[in-house]
Amino acid sequence: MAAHSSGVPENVPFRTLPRGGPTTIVAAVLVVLGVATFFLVPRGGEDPGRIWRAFQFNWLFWASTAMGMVMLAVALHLTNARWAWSIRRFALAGVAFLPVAWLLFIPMFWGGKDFYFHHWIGVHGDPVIDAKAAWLNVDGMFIRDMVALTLLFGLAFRFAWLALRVDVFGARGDAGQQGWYDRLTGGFRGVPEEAARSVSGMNRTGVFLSLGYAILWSIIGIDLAMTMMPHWFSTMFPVAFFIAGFHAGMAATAILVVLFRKRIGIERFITPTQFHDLGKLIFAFSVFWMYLNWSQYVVIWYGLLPHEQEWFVRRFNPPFTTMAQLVPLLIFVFPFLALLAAWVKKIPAYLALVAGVILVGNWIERFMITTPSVYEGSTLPFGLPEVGIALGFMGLFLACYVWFLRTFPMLPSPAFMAAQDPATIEVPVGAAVTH
Amino acid sequence: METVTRSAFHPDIVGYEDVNRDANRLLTKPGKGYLALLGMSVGLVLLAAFSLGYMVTFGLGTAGDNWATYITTFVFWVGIGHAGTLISAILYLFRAAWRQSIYRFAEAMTVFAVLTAALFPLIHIGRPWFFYWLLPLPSQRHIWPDFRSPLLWDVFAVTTYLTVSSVFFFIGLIPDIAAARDGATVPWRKKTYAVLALGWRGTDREWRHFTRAYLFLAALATPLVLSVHSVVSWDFAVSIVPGWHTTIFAPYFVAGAILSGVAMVVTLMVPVGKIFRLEKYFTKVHYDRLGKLLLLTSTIVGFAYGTEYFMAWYSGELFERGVFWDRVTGQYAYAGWCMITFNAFVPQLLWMRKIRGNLNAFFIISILVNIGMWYERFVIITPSLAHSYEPWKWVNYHMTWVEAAILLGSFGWFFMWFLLFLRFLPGLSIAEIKEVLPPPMKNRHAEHDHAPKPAAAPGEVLPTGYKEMELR
Repeated sequence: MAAHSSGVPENVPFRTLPRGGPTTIVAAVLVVLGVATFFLVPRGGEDPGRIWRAFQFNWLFWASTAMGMVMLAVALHLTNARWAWSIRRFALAGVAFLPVAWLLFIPMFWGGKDFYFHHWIGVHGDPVIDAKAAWLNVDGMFIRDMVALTLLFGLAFRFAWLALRVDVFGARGDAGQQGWYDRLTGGFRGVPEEAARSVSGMNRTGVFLSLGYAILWSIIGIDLAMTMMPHWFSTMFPVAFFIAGFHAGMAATAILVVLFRKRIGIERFITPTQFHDLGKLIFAFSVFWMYLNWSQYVVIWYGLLPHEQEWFVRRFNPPFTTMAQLVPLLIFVFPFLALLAAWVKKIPAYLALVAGVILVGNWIERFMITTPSVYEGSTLPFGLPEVGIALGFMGLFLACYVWFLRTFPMLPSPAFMAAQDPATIEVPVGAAVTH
Repeated sequence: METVTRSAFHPDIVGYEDVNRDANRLLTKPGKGYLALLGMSVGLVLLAAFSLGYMVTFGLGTAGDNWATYITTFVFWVGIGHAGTLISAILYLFRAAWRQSIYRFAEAMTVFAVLTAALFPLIHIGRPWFFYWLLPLPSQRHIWPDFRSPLLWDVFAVTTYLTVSSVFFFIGLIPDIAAARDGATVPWRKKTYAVLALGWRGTDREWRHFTRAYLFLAALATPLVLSVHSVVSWDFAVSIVPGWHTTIFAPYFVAGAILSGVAMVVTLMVPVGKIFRLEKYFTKVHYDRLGKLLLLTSTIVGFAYGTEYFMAWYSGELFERGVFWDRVTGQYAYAGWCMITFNAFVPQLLWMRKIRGNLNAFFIISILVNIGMWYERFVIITPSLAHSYEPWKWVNYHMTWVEAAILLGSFGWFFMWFLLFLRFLPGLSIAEIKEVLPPPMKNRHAEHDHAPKPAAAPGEVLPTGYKEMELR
């Protein structure tokens, strides 16, 4: 049942999410709501860019979360984390949203660039902006970001391909599944060989994916959020940006495990110990998130340099004061207190609830790192348009996610797990082992 | 062929009795090599003591400007300590079982490194007998220390770290000291261990309390790994000196600290393994994992260097750009390139499994990283001050013989404590190494009945080992 010391559990079934159920309808309704919001919210008035900025921060949030989920799967693989064997595919499934994120980036960028980057687009004579014209130009930025997204998402697909290839070998699926199984297992050379190849290939791809995530997601963060205030710079910002995405990915994974484990029929493999461990990881990253943000804040607060303080002045003052207070409350203070005890982390619904709070906090954080940089009005530009766009993204995410759950087995195969590093080895009796 | 099950980390250890024998052997037979090393270390300490006496007599002017060497060396030694806590506490929480055989001496290294670091604030204040002015007590001047000063935050951070890591070190030692007590033949040793073991008998109750305490201390020590060097980094970062005032400093210092600490672990492990013949305990698995850890931290440090240079350029500011350009082209360029090459580039060789497995290569890399990390702190401190806002501040720094002697002496001091530790306290964690060994069984094969079965067992529906397949 549970993992033995050898790391290979017994009686693992091949299970996918059954068809039917309300998820598809829910996703469709959410997408319709999102699209309707996008087209119905008036473009003119005091703040014509509002809907585009809602699009922008929601893209940042959902793309970061999906990418963070993949990075969680990568981290669990690279660290050979046997405890997470039955939940890591829930993290990997985030990969299904990446093509959508890639496509949506294009309209998000070109449609709204004048509402995100007007502090530097077409601005001349400012010595600081002129000094970094090489970085701050729209075409260069678009090409750079597209290359970054293509590279990163491409590596993520390769990682997922390697992870799934062995497991779907020999499986019989319906028409939709079988096509993917055949595509994934093209040129299959035998189970043990392919399992060994997958494990080492995932090690390699995973390492590059980790490097890629740190560097390329930093660039995405710098381009789409930091440059909105072109005089401001902080070396911590990109780090805090991609770590927050990783944390959000963790929280999303916890929620999705809790939501879908019973319908897939694998709840007996996801034990309280695993929820406990996942809870500890989420807790630790809440603390780490606060550590990074505090380390950024204290240096700027103490330094008292005007061009640095501007970032916090814009956010701590009305109309954003409450939102600025909510972010650390939802990502750090509440989860810290709520997840401190050991036993509460083992209650799936409770863990999912706290993870939900963290996700909301992260969602607001993505709003707070973008909009206040350019918003000049006196009322908080946060309400139905932002929520409507978020629902639309949620629908798209759910649709992609559920497609993955329906198509691929949600537990890794014993053959794959047997190819990972064992805890004990067999040595011939009487033979000296040499180094 | 008949086989026996062995730990993947220690394929040469036959059973529990090997561990007790080898750990106790460390305490009993010092070789000539050991005595020679100890003699050298004590010699260096004496040299430093003489130089310190000279400096106290003739004044701080005998050291160079800005105490550059003292502060650099302080940060260097605080950093060294971090890997010990990482290996003993964080890897424990992560259940990384390969840590068992190396964590004890990594942790000892932590304690001694912090002890070494703690000397430098005392040395550089010039009148060491007034050090208690740093403590949060109203002094005879009826004033409190300035709580807004990051230098005071340092006092709290470092003393907390020293306290917690010493307690953690000692608690972890208790069962092993009891084993040393039981194995000791020299009467005074037996008595001393009996006192230090606190009457440990190895009952269930004791183990239950011990494992709880150990877990809690590990959880408390973990944030300290981050906090100590973060606070040290803020000594610099909260000021507005270009090259110091940058927000990434806290995690960047922590990653650098772990990098230097892991390098020091390797620098110590290779000779200790050779001198004391511990090849069974420090196996290629350990060097491989340490190599990966070094590679990871080196890459993080390299990422931080890259971020700093990128942001200095991206800032578009004269001073930011100036100071970073000066680091690689100015009068201290040798130090700047030492730091970049040894910390960010040389460890990248460890991507190759061959190099991770080659002890000589790995040992040399670890020493280069140690040098590089000392230079990193030097580069942050000295060229930044020597190239600050106004040109009249631009000065050259030259290390004096006093500083050089005290720097060398700090290594002597560290190695002296470390060598004494190996001789008097169990350097291998007897209890925890046994945790990763397969338990002794009457029937050698009974325990791996649940090992992976051949893929063709009856009742399976899929060649990949899935037991059932539900078509949906």
